[in-house]
Amino acid sequence: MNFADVQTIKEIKLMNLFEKLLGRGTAKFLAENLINQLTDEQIKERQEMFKKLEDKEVYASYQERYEHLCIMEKEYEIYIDKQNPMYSALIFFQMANQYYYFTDNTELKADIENIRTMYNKRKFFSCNLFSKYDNTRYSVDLKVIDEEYIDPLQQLFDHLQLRDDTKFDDYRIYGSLYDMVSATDTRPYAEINAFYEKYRNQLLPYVEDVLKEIPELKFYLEMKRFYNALDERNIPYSLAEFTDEKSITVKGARDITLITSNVENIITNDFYFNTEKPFWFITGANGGGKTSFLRSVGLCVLLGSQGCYMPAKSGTIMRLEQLITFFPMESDLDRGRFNSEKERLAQMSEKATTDSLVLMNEVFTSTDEMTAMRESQVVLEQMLEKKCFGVFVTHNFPLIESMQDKMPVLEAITEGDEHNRLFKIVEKKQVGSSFATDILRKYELDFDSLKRKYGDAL
Amino acid sequence: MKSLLFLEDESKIAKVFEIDELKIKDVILGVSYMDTEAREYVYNVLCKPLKDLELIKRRQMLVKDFCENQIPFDKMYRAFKNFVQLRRDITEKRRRFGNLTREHGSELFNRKIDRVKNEINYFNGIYESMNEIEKLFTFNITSPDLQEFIDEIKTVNVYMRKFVNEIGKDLVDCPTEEFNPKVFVEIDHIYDISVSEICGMNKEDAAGFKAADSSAGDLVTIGIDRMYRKIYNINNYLTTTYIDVAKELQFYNFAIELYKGFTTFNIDCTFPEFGDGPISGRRMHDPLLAANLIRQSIDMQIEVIKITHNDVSDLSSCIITGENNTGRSTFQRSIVLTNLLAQCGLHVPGVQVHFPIYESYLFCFAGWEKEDSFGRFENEVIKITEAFKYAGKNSLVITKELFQSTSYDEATESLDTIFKALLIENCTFICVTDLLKLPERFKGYEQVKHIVLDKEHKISVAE
Repeated sequence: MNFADVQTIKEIKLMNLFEKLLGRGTAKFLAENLINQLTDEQIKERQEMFKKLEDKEVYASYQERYEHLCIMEKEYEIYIDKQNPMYSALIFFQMANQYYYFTDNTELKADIENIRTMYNKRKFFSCNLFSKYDNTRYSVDLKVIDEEYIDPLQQLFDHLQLRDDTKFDDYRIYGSLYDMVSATDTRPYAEINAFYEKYRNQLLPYVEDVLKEIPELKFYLEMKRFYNALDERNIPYSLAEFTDEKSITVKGARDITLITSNVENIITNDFYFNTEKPFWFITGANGGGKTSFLRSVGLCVLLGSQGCYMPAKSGTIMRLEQLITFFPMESDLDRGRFNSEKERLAQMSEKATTDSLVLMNEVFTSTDEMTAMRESQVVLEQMLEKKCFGVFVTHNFPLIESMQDKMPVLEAITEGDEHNRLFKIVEKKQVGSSFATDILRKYELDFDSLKRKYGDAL
Repeated sequence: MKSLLFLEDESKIAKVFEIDELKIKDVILGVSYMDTEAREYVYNVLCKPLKDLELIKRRQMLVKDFCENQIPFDKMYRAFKNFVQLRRDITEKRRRFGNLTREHGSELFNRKIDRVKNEINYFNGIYESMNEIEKLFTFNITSPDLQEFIDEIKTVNVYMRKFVNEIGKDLVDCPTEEFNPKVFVEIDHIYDISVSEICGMNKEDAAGFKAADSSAGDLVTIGIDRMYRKIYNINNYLTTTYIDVAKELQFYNFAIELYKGFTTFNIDCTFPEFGDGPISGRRMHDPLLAANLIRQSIDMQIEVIKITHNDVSDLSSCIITGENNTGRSTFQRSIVLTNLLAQCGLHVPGVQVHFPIYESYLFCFAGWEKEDSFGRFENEVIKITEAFKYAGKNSLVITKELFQSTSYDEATESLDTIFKALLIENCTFICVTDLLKLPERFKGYEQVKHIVLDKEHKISVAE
């Protein structure tokens, strides 16, 4: 069973945040690596690694290691692509050249250095810039060291009718030219062939072994990039402490996804769950940050449980089995939203366990108040019976009143005037208005504004 | 060339706001198989409902001619679509020639000749397609617009025929580079183009001239260039014109497919009557359901809900309630989407349908949290604010499940005020809601009906 699913990461908008800060491909990669159920050791290992990466030198060294690995992986892919056996020796050497950074094998290192020296004495130098055009062609970039080679190379290009916009200092030419160019200085080529024959059967398993590091290293480095982006915005974060007690307490949590909307001062909120208050209602002001609060809970618990930094000042969390979220989806509309929601909620209720955190946002709003109350009560009773933790965002006051003895209430309150509202989530005994009028007034659609406009006709 | 859609005058087009909520794209997809570009075009036309009764009637006559008077539309449509292919071909060929300059050396002259021949072939392609189209119109036409359109095609064909059949130097000598049908001249000899014919010399002179020196060559080249530019402009004019027509016909293709769909599935359909007063009609239903039914015949995966007909009378503003899955949205679409299609001049499902002509369609549907800093409630309020900007006499405001993200009481209170303000603005509103106390607020408002849907998707008017 996974800790969360990718849909959850989308719903708490972490995916969107990753996309904006790191790009789509990385977002997908990170999301897929943040949903697994980790052991205590794995969490500890991750936390230690993040701490280590705080050191700039360590970070730089891991980055360098990652870069070598990426180049090596590319060359490895070309090498194992048997469609171009002709260049196997050269690519094999380039791959070994990268492996140099990961091995203690002195003989191998000496052989590589020997060829490198020979290469450096060449009139022109074939760099490690093999790139894959398609399945059948490769490019070779030649850096010309000695200008006397420019004319002969140009003639060669003309003869082969290669494109005429090639610059003199950086020739990108097809692999088929490699033999012809190599023929001008055959010695290193022969050495590379010898190197290939010597190591071809033994080196590959080691290379494959080292390459396995890539996903893990990528995860840490990309997450570190993510946290660097938070640093730029002065957003604090912390590693979670774990407790054996059934409780979660987080202080100063922020909905960092708001940075994509260029919100400058993201409000912080504290939250806690324990056996006495496991499941909360949230209600209150429209636009008061209920959904943001819900997201900040999701973000902290997800990242904290995955051994990453939480966007919060501090936090102690229990080892959860699952993070489950329920947000209304636009696609629900196509199937009849009420039934679709009911179906999804039934699946969710079944999935939830005692050690789950369930976040539900505006459930059953597509039906009348009483039906919504009845259906919500069923779901909430199930959750309470399972004794899992959770938050339920609603404006259904009869529902809140009917269950207030079992579930405490958080309320989104606003401070300041209507044009400059500050939002805070606080624990409440009595629930009040949703402050819809404040927003309507801002757009002059409240009763008073419309009355002024239309007079007694209204 | 005459437009068949009558969209030139913006003052005669109704305003629409957030029309995507109406699922028009799904209707288009269901009714007719079209490529993405065509679907997009039809969608754009449907987003511009007409508000001028005369124009709507003229569209209806065109649709009627195409649908009911056996005009061989398919052939005509294919012939016009041929222009798109012709233009694609010539663009490719023109690209191959590029700019012919002196750097092309001794080949220059021959390449220029080839380029001209190329344009002439293109001209002939257009000419053949035009003749095909002309031959199709031997049927009874009732629409004056269609008649006028065909007459224009015939006129252009006459010019083109003249152009092909007569020898004239106008092509070379004409001072203006712009296309004007009056300067059409025949050019069939260009196929056997020679120096003498370009420059008006006899062949001997031309041969001597050509051999004499480079300046003679220059003169010849200038002649060819002028000829090329002339026919290039003509071709471009013709293609641009006819490609526009081809695009317009995409809409009528949709109209025909819609009509065919109705008749194939025995769905009553009609051109509604327009006039002041409330909406009325018998056997009305959601066109999207019919569209899905049509689509299902080629795609079994499509789920189709049973079509329920409803008779509507004396309906203007209304609040639609009912349990979940009783078809509230479907009923809302059966009024609004039908009205919009009708103002686009199309057949609509129903019998004896009477619609007012709305000058704006303003949709305010339940919002979803967007990637901005606003919450869901505020997003909905913003939509209503926008709608108010356009609201006025003959505006139709369509709302669905608004203000669900606030308390029921506050939502009821807010919508009560907003709808009453809309009534003062003489707007009509059609609202789907779960706020069961909202209809009570409009007791005593005769123009506002409370419509309740039952489990059979049938409507009744609550007292």
